[in-house]
Amino acid sequence: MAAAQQQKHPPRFSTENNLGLDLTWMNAVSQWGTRARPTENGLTLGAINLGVYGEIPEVYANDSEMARGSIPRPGAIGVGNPVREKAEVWTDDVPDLYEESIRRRWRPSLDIPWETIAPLSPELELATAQFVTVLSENALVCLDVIARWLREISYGFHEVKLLMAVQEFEAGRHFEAFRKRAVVNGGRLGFESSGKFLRLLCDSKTFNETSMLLHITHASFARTLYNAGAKFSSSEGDRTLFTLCAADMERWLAYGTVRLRGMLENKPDRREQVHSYLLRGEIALTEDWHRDTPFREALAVLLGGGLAGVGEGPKRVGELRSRQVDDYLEQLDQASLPERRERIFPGLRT
Amino acid sequence: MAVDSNTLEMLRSDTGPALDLSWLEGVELTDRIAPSKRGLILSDIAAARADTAPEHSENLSLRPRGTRQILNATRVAMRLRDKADTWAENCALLYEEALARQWSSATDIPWETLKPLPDDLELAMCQLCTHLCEVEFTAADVPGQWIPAISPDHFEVKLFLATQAMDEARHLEVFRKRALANGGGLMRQSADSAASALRSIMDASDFTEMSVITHVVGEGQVLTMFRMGEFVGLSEAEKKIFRLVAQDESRHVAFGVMHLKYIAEHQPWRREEIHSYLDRAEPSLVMHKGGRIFGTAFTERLEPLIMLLGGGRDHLNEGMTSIEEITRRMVNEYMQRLSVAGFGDRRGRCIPAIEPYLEPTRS
Repeated sequence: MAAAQQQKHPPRFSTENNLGLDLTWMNAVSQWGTRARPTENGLTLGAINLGVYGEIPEVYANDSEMARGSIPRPGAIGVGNPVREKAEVWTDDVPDLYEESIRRRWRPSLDIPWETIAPLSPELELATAQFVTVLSENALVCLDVIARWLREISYGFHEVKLLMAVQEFEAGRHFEAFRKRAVVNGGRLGFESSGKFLRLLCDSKTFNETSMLLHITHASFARTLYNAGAKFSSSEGDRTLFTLCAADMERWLAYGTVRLRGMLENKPDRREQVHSYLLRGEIALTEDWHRDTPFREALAVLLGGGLAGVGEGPKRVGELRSRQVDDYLEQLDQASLPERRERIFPGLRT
Repeated sequence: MAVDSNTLEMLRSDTGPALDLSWLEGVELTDRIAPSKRGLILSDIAAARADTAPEHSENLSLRPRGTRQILNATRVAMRLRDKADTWAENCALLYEEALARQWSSATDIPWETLKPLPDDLELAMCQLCTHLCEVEFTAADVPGQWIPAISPDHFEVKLFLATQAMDEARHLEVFRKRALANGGGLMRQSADSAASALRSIMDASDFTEMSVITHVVGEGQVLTMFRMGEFVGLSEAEKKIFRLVAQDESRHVAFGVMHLKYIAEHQPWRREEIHSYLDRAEPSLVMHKGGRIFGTAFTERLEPLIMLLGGGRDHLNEGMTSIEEITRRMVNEYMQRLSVAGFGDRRGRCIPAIEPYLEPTRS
């Protein structure tokens, strides 16, 4: 059914009553006659953006807890949401990405066929555990970082707040799933990462900086790893785990890429700043790569198929790293930053 | 079973790329963990590996509990490092339950059952939903403020709070959808939103303060109201909205009650401090007296409810009678929760406005 909107005059009611009630709210409706209809995907966020309720302001002036499109009360107290510009946060597909995230929700406890994960050799099991330990740590830090921004975003862009909430939830799910994988098959949690990139994420000061590091740099590098994990997995359980996580990352990337492209269109003067943020991320990733020997070597064992093939492993790890960089640059192409190819931190390529 | 140390030594001395491999050394594989009929849940994993959250976390890096430390990892400042700061014994189970009970407002609500309502009732439902959108906005934002401060050694709390943010986000959108789906629209910003009544939640500077005000008092209050959804909802769609939202809120309340219980058992010296939070939050439980609403602070919250419960503009007296009943339930459920949390003494020191609604305790 298509969305429908009836325009008619709102009813008027007397506020007189014997209980001393105010009732003036009965004569305060912003767009009477709104009747959103379910789409083929149900009654979606996009389907209710009708008339004034779907007008996304360039700057949302109201800084109170008011829902967008309702009638403001004069003198409302502000709650201090610093992110109030549409260009900072908005993309037209945010409502759809949110609904898609809800549709594609999954549960690590039941949706991963854990019982299909067969015993592995000690080196493969421990390498898997080391690999997912770092992925798990990354996901928990993403949860922290996203959670911090929920409150900062203005209520005028509630769709973005909703998307951040679902991403926060997804990050928790990834943490949980990878942690379970680390120990379910007889292994144990491995070593932490050196955390340079994670620290940079935690320390990011603007939503733009956070989104680039989180939704593009992190999401791109993570998606490539998850896809690689799905390929080298020897069980249905592991393949399902990595495939589901990669699908979630696609949505993060979709948001981050379109948001960045839109921001650069609206604020071309921010282009150099964007490069500065990306450079910082690339340097931190390079530092982590060189410091995180257990992670690198675990990948070598996994890509080499065990210790017997570990001699081939570093070459394959190098190839995987190159793929990560290529995927990242491809994502930035899509975000209308093709010149990043020429400006990428050289250390990231080696 | 471990990796053979001779093999590792041979690989290190090989002429190929330099390898360290010390991360493989001396690590024994242990028993595999079989999923139960509930699947592979966090508490099964924790039990199998004797993995318990520490009373105090010395972990200053970003590594989650049980992850092995490296010496050059970056150090970060975590403010909440005592288990009692944030812990509730049920948080892992509540997390798993939240995942099991996720729902979609787009497809799980029978929107087609909405029927055109008399204008007064549609207005009342839309005003109530407008107010609830505001409430849920705040309830979604608040947990996020605390998550980064919690030690990764107590990650179960972070996970639970992430589900709360997700739940509240869904509530926000389902109430917005309802307001815009049946010929009405969003209405006036509520007076308590304009006065930022919810600022007391945002402004809490201690996790327990936030939890008492949000989970125990605030969400406990709306839980009682949503459980009355059978009487407030005028269609199957609305009744289902209230049922599903109540189901979510009951997890949030359960977390708050068990966190408070943990405090009562582990930090009894904080009792007076907790009572001071309750003193501050309790006035929101009783918004009327003698058939009159206190001032205009609760206009958009209470009046639509009165109209919906009464059955329309011409039945406000009946609605007020129902509000009295809801308040009685609200107060007694609140007191029962406090009793479970180890704060049964609250009965003797609650604010006077509550006392008329208190029922005798069951022996």
